[in-house]
Amino acid sequence: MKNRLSELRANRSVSQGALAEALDLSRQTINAIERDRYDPSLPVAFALAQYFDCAIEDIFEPVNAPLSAST
Amino acid sequence: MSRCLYSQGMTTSTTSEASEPKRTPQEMANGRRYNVQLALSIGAYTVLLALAIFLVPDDSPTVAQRALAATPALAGLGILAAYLRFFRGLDELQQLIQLKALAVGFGVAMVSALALGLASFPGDPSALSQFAPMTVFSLGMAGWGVAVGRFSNQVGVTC
Repeated sequence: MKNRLSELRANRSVSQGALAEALDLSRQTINAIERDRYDPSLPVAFALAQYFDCAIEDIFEPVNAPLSAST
Repeated sequence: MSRCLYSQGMTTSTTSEASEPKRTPQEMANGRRYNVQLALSIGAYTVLLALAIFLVPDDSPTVAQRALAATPALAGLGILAAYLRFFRGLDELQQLIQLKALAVGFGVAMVSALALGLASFPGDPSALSQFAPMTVFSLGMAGWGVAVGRFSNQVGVTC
């Protein structure tokens, strides 16, 4: 999973620590997400989307093609 | 493109992370509370162990004396409670690292117990049998600790 978290954060001039505190996460977890080393849970993804006032898919993007609906 | 990225105009500036403290205030409070509770439990363990050594004879102890000798393990409940509280204070990635590391530690302890069990036999007076429980404990703890370090390094997190 790729994400645009660092871009969003820079856009809002929010530090990793401030974002971590706001979402009750550790700064290192924010760092791990930004470096694509960790894919957060759905609740955290929703919390990030809410924080940045956008949809989850505006932040996260699957690396592989999305699963197609079964026929 | 996403409204959240461009709604306020894209900027190329990034907030410096180098000057930020490594841990959030919540994390530091959680760590401090854990350290205090752990220290108190270890202190209780030390006192109970000293009492057990002082009060329980080496040869032919009664059932009550044997029970007294086991009381230091009660302090382990305090350590467990401190750890569980610490664990609940971690975020999801840190909890995941701890869980994976605990699984490794448990596995190491089980394999160690199996190996020591196979290598000893009933009535074995050797040091191997005598120190088997502490060996299993030490190897399990070491496995847990090494695994925490390894899994943390993989994602660049310390816990």
